[in-house]
Amino acid sequence: MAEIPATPAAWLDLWLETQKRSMEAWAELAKASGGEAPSSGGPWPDLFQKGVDAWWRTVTAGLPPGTHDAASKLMDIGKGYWRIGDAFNKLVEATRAVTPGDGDWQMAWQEGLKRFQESVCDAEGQVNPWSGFATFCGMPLDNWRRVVSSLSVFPGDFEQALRSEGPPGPEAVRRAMGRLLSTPPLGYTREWQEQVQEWAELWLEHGQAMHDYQTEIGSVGGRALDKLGSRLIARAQEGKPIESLREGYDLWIDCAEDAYAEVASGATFIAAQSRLTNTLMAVKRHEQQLVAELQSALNMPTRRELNTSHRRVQELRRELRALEGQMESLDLPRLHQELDGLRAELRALRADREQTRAAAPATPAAPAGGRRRAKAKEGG
Amino acid sequence: MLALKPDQILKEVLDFNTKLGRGFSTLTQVGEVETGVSPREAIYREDKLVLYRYRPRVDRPLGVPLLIVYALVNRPYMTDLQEDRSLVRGLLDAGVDVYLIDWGYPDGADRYLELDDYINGYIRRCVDVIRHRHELQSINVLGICQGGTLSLCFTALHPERVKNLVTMVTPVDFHTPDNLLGQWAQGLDVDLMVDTLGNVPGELLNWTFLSLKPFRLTGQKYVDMADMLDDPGKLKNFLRMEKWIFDSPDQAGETFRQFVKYFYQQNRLITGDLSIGQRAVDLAQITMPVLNIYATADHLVPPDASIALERYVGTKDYTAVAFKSGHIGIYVSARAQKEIPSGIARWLKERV
Repeated sequence: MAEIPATPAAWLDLWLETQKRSMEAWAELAKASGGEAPSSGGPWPDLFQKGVDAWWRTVTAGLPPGTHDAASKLMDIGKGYWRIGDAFNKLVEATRAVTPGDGDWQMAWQEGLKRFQESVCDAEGQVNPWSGFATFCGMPLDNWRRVVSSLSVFPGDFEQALRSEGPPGPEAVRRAMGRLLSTPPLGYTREWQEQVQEWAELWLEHGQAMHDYQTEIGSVGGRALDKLGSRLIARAQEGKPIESLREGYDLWIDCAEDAYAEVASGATFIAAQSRLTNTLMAVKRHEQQLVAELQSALNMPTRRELNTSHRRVQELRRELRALEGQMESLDLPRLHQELDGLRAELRALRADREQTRAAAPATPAAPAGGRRRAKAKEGG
Repeated sequence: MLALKPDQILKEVLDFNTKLGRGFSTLTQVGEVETGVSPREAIYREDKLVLYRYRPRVDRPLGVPLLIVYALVNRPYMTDLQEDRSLVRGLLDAGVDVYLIDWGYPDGADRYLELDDYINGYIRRCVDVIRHRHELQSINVLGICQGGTLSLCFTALHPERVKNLVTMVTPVDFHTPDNLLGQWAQGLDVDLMVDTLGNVPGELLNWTFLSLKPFRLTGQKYVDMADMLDDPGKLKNFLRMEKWIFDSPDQAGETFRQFVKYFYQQNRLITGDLSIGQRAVDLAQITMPVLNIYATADHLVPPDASIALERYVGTKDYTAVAFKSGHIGIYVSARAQKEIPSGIARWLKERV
């Protein structure tokens, strides 16, 4: 067993050694087949992937902290490109001696494209939604899987947990849920059991939606392949055949994107994609209700209570802003100015009165009884 | 038919994997990926929002400042990604006094923010802060992408506060035939989504955006990256962009609900049925000069979605500029650096 590399340089050496061993093994296979390329369905991709996987297991522990994701991504890219290389190799092998218009060229060509498809997708064009970046057709679905995991209340990758149930698709989910759904709800916890079963049914709906979406994505492969075939033939007829793997890869991506654009704007795809999202939301919504019940039972705050608080705070802030706006529209500076003016006027009047008082000659105070009499006289 | 040979294919694959292996060493040496390079100061804060003013790079900048209103769905440092890829820096060099709203990262407490809060609240107050600082009745506004749509609403509601309006890659008509996002949004149960998720996670939006071109954006892009792995400078640029793409803030739930319903599903901006804060949004109220810049190969905001603006604004001074690029290239391509900021500055100077 190889030693765990302690430095990036040692990591690289081990990587290159793995490459070298893969190449030597492949060359041996080529020799064994009389200098021809290894036959389709042979060990080419497996050889590489098994070697790299074993190597990966060995070196993971030795990688610097925080670099695992980047290294894993690079390795996925390497695997994906290897797979494309394998696909083009099979296409080359099947069409090597073929010229458009000659004999059974179309049959040979179709066979080559079929082998190409088997390499980039899984057998018979079926897309494995759990295959991720390493397979071409898995890319769109791999993105979705990551979204599902990020939204799930379950730790880790829920779908990954179902992989032991067998091949991907709604059947895997159904098998996993079947045992749960087949248990009749009984006793004091009956309502709770029903809710859990409802959750399982929602998961099944999402599983079906995933299957439908997967079927739509799967149809992209066939279309892309048709386009690739047409464009390769057109280029050959124009005297501009593909001369490098990279050129072939870029052409394949162009074809795949064109095919995807056609499928993705279709009513069936749009409906499938919407259902994929909507059913996932329904699952999550139900999960929240289950969790909220537990929280309530434990006298813990629930999301609903928090939402109520947040909504009220936001409403209060809006009212406050509205009041501020009203105050602004009252033209407070002008009112303040007017008030200041009035105050100044009042001060002036008071000062004036004080001055008047001070200037008036002092008069003896009339006796109280006399004043009362005088008033009574004025009043008649 | 194919001028490829098996041994050549194998060699290319192995060369490619060798590049990846060597690239890992480079990756570990790249260090921190910085973004947002131009010096700036925060002049106003409210909740998660920060209003920045960039330090002018000319002695006497244009008398009327420009406020950049960026989208809510990505981070605004795309406008100032690195020294040689910076719309902001280009504008500063061209003599524009630049302000920018950084929306921050909404959290659960922001879930009930609505379009009214963003448009008649945050944007209006930022505009007022700048107006008061410069003692101006109105300022220039540059709305980018979704920020352009928000700017159009703001300008229609508060035309007296906007002297000139610039929109970049801004969706106006959300129902043009080539608008894949618009088509996808039709079947989305956005009520269920927001009621369930509260704020809408950035991961979900990323999935949507990547799904527009899944093979190119999740596959080919990384194969291209392999060619940069031996060049730390280029690799850092790539990683900077990568950081921006996946640095997607969660979306305030109620705002997301309204934006999807009002714009993507019901296309209200052009049907005349849009009200924000109980006030009708009428694009005909936009009577000040308008410069509308769109990208000819934009897969997120198709050109027709932007071009439609001319039919609905009330201005007689309308200029549309078609720029040959995609949605991102209009900020970061070398040609964009030469043409976009100087073009905006020239257009503004002619109207101040």
